Amino acid sequence: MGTGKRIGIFKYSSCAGCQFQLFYFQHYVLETIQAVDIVYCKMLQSGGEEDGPFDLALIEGAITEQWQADQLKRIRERSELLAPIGSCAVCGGVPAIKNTAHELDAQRRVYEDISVVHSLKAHPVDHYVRVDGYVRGCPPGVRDLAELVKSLLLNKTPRFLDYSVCVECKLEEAICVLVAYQEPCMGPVTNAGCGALCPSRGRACYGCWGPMKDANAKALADRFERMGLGREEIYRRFTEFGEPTVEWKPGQVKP
Amino acid sequence: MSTGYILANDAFRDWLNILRNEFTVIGPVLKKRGPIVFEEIQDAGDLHLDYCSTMLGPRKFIYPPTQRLFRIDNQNHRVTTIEPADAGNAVIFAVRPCDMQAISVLDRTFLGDIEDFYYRKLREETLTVVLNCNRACDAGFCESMGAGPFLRLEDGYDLEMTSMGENYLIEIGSRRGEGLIEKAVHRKEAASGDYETKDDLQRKAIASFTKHLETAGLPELLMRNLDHPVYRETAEARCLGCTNCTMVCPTCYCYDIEDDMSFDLTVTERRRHWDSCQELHFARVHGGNFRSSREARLRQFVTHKLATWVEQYGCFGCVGCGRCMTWCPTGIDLTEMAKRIQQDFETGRARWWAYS
Repeated sequence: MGTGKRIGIFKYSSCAGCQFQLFYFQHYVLETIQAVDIVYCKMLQSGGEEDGPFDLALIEGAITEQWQADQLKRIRERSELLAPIGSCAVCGGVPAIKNTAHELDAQRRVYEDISVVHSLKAHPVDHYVRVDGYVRGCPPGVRDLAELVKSLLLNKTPRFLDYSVCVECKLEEAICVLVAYQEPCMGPVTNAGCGALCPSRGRACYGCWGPMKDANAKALADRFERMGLGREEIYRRFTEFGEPTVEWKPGQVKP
Repeated sequence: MSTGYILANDAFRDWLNILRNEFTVIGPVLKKRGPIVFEEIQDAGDLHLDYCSTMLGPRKFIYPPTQRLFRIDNQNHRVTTIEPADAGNAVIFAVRPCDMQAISVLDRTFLGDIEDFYYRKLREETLTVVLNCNRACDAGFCESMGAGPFLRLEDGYDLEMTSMGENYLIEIGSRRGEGLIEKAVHRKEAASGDYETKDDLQRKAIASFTKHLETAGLPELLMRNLDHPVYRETAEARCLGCTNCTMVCPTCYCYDIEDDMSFDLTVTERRRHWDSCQELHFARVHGGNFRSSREARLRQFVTHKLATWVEQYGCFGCVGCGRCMTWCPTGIDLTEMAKRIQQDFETGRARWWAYS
């Protein structure tokens, strides 16, 4: 028994892991398929209604080519709700690492013949269109994905996790790797949702879920510097995920 | 209460194992990679009594991080209360005096004018055995806050233990505590000399403090200097807004409510989970956010613990356990902030005029 809610799923520059996360959706997979109609999703079915309209459009991946930006604008105008899913779409993610280099150098490093490459700097979805929420994570968190789909069904505003990784780490009662072992942990400025996967296993968070809202990146970068980290190292940590974001800009001190 | 017992270390371990037949015995346990965590023990030997402070206090057993409250059946329009899980028959061992004080501070919030059903249930069904501290911990200043190093409470706990080398002095705090100690096989009544030893240990423990905070007049001073630059400077240079301080604070009680509906929209479950005033969303209301700056949020933490709590509940919201500064990634110390305002007042740079 479907509710007739139409969902379109689009993929830009990314690894497609977000869509797989959506299909697995762990214990929600059957409920989701029954509750909504997926009318466009290239990874699931060929064809589909590319032009919508959509009740909810989910966007995976960073925007790195002009055609992507053009299509994204078209989708926005034909969607009631639109949300980026996964770090690449939310904050630039891995593709945005190339923003730290000159475009030509980045392309030359990968391709022999760059005459067919039309890549631009990597940008998150909200650089081009208004979004109705962010489903963070690499891959996106099940909790936030479920919240978004349920909110669509209930016609309510979704509530996403918006606190730091430290909250989840404390609940795991893991020893703080930053305080106790002087590891350059990005947890305090990174959005929660992963369940403190790395720090609760004794490894510093590297920020794959992207910036937490209102993060104090400058203060953490200064803390890393006081710990003896070089500027190169600090720069890498703040540009590995989320290079284009305003929250982490103050931490991106050029070496 | 005056009756006390002496229990040799071996007899103490036997006693714990006897209690384990009847109760869920909880205590500090040393985990892999170093943290000490309050959890159920499988054997008396698991108990790690030589500890300073855990990251999360025993608060988590009485006021859990996430609690299911009730379930709504949307089809039959029925509401079912969800009773707190695992209630009953738990004994928490080796609760530090600061943590015991913190639980009594929480009592004022949850068992005050409006009684919290879920809190009351877990609080009543959990027994607490306090272990006095024979030395000060590095970040602790419980002595200044009237919470330690030896138990200062009159009631609200069940037993009080003092480690005296070869044996423990165990004093009774409640009738239920008495029931616990009566299960100890090789106990003997404490003599006056034992209480003298305890007093000596307490004196030594008090002398071992390196950290102090002058609390006289502090609430008034803080409230008259709400715009002191220390808040802005600390918030900009060091506060990460990560909420570690409020996560580990044993007296923080704020929670947020969340409804979780099933995908077929038939059942809704309402839960509450710990919230934090250091989060941006905390003070967001219709029309705006009344603590949108990090400075405002940091000031809220300091002034609530050391000033407005007194007005609200008649006690400090800080028990001096030192957790917030220990686990702050940038080492923000609320006593240092308070001391700077105190020093500025002494040198005439802080205000002492009526705050309106």
